[in-house]
Amino acid sequence: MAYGIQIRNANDDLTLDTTTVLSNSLVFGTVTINSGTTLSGSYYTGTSSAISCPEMTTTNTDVIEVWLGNNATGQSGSLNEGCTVNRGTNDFTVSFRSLTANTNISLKYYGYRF
Amino acid sequence: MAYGIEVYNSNGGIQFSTRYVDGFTVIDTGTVSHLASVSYDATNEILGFNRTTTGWIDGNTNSTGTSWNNTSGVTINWLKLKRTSLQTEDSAGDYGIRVYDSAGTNVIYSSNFSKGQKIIDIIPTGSISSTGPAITQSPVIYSGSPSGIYHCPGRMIFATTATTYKGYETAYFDYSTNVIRSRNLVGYDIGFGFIYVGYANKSSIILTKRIP
Repeated sequence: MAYGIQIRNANDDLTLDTTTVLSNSLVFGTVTINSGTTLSGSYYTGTSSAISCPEMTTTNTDVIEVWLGNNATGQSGSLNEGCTVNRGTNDFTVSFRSLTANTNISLKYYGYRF
Repeated sequence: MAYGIEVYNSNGGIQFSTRYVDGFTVIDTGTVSHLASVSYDATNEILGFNRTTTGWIDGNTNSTGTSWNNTSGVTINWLKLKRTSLQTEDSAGDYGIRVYDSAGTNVIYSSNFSKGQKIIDIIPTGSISSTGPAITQSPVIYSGSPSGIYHCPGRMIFATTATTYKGYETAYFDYSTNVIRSRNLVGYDIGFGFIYVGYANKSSIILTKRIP
């Protein structure tokens, strides 16, 4: 090892060295989106309010990303009713499209840097 | 940054920083047999999956988001990621490194965990899409031996049991060509069979290795 640090745990497992990438959470929470009542094509689409995510830009997907997961209440089977992350500057929104008006979806999100 | 600590790897990737509010750590690992379930807490945990033979990882998340049922036909390896600040150190001693956030309340990095992870790659949201149900119609997201690589696919809905609709957000581990493919696909029953439509991944996908 020519430079840098290595960190091992109590079992002598190498948990961090100069090649390690770890994820750091910038923002996390739950967002509920309503599909609304405006029909466009075959879908009703609603968009969340802006979610603050420091250091995010519209293009820096190589360092900051968003992970979306079902909230504990779950929406099993709703995957076709797609969600889209809309990147902004220091924030993002999530759009939800549904075949049904006024449908709610609840998502867990992490904005993280790696 | 006026104070605190930041650590980057040799490629400029962040490892931890007191600027950020939290990290992720591996809290548990295990295996789940075909048609058996692994429980998890969807409010703060992320599941990752690995298989040791060539094939798909398929399964269902229950409607309450508390368990995942394996329908892959083989035993699957799993790991759970959790926000570091929510996890109690399980290998604490009187030595090692512990890093807190700027408020001094959340542990964002610690060497006092018995398990760890090493991120291999992040697949950005909306960057990949299947074009059909065939294996080769799902894009390669990792090239190299799939051994030890865990696929954390985001929205943990996989193949549903619905008779009129199927959704896939899964991975194909191919040990013959040493790649991992991502399948992002929905199928609709149009009366005389399913048609399949690919879509761009809704969540970023985390590819990670477990330590040890």
